[in-house]
Amino acid sequence: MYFLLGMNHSDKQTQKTLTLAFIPLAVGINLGIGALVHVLKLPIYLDSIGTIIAALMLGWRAGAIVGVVGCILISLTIIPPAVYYSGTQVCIALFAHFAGRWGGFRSVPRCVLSGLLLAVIATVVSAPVTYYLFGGITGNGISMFTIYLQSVGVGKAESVLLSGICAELIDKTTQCLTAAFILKRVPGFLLAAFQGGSLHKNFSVR
Amino acid sequence: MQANIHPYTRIAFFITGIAGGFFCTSNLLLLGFWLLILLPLMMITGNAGAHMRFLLVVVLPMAAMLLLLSWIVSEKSSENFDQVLLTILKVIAYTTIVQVVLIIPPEQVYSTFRKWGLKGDTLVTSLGSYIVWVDIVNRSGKILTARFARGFIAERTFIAKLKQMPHLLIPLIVSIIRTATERSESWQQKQLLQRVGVMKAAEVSYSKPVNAVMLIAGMGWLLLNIFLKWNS
Repeated sequence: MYFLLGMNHSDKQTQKTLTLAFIPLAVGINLGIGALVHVLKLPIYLDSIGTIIAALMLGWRAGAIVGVVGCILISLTIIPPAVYYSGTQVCIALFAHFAGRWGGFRSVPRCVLSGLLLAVIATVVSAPVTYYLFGGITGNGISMFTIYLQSVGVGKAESVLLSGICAELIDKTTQCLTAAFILKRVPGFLLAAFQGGSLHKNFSVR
Repeated sequence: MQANIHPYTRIAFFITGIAGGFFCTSNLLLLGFWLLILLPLMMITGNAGAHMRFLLVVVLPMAAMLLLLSWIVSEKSSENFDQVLLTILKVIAYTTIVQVVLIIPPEQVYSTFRKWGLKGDTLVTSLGSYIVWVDIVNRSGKILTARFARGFIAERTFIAKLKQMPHLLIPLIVSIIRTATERSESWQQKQLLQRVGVMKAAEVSYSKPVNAVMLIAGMGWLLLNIFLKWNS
């Protein structure tokens, strides 16, 4: 892969070290924002911004690691069920990487489209975990909507899926826009060192 | 004195504990498992304080919200109450299992990760992630102090700090990217990635009774739940 990118051994080593140094810090982004949202009981998650940023900067593997490690740590500190949604984080990283390669974070309309597609994927992956492992309720703001839907006669599985997609559509679009907004404001010379992802296809990187 | 848990016991307990919880449909059994097995384990490993704080700050508000929600919008039947209680107890049990497995004393983190098969890059990432929370809190504190000093925050209340979140995000991420670049240069100069694989782990003496109890309890919990599920 590094050969295809025209990088020599030294570049490869630099990228590897940079990736290893950045991953824990990106986990911190997920942790910080996710914790704040959970404390405020907002009906969204916002716990994947670090995953998306890492996938765009360093590729899907780094993004997936950030997502999974973030889930484990967030589980220990503030959102107990988070660890069981690690698979969703891997899917988010994969999608962010491929959407980034297509230029899905280049403009606001593209970001919105990426967010909507990501929402559908995240719902499909998360809903079975919520349904089978937690009986449809995990104690976040979205549970309120799930319980309400059940109370008006909607089936449990449908309630989980419906409340999930409603929340995810807002959540993932916001996350994609936030990640792009943040990366657009980071000075280009700082981003230039990160060559493993798809920054050059979406942002002006010197 | 706290008892040390062997890395393999941690993994075995995690698998059996979670699998048992998945099959469990009895509130009483879950409560019993938490009270008789998980809570004493947290005490023995010296994490009872952290666990209680976690229950009070995180789980209790979540449980209160779930009960309130089910009371307001759902049918006020005892069956519905039991279902909500089961969810709360499962969350408590799953979380405590994760805490038992992943709250590792600092001097054992390296040896535990090595025994779990982590090496090289994965080991460095895992070790780095374990200290990231403190790092982020420190960094956010510095940015908030700087904004306070420049007069952007009138007073240091929780609400005032909360309002600073959007302003905090970009400087925080810029500083994270800058730190990652600096850290990677420093690691390369010190050849840390090559050295981490050959470093010797500290000798740890593991408590045999505690490890044996954990293995037996985990296995018993799983088999009991499979048996009850099979017969129901």
